[in-house]
Amino acid sequence: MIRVTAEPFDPGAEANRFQAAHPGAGAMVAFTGIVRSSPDDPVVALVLECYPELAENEIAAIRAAAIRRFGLIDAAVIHRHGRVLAGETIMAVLTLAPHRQAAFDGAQYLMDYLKTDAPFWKQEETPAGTRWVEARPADDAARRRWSGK
Amino acid sequence: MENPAIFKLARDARIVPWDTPLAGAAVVAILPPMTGG
Repeated sequence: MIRVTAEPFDPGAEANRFQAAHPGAGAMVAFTGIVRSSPDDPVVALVLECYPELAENEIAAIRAAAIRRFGLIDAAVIHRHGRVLAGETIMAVLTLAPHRQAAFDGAQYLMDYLKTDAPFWKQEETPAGTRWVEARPADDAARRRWSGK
Repeated sequence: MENPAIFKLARDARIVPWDTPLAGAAVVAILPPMTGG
């Protein structure tokens, strides 16, 4: 399941529904991404721009690769776009597998690829103004670790 | 473009290699550097 949405969602409820739909699974990993803010680097909100159809297609390709590679029973990605306030959920990744290692690996693979290949553009709103978020070399490095396997 | 590798090409809502033929495409987009999800 892929959903790119401007609407808030409840990651716990999504995880429960996802798990209930696959009663034979032995392991589920649920990752939730949250808009970060700290006293040293306060952020009011994150504005995510995207072309939803393109984002859904690219995320679907990443999901399909993860399912194939790790033998997942299923995987789901829910991703917000639009304005998301600090502390709110940006995205959720859910993986189901017969055993835990595949569920963990599948979720990490999905996250590493989503951080580099999902077509989103982010702008942070801070008390001092707005700034575009640039791609991070650390995310590229995290993604590269999968290319040798 | 000084460094075309930082841009991506999309054809009909899929990211495609730069040498992809564009004839017959309904939508073509050149994407600036992405932040990721």
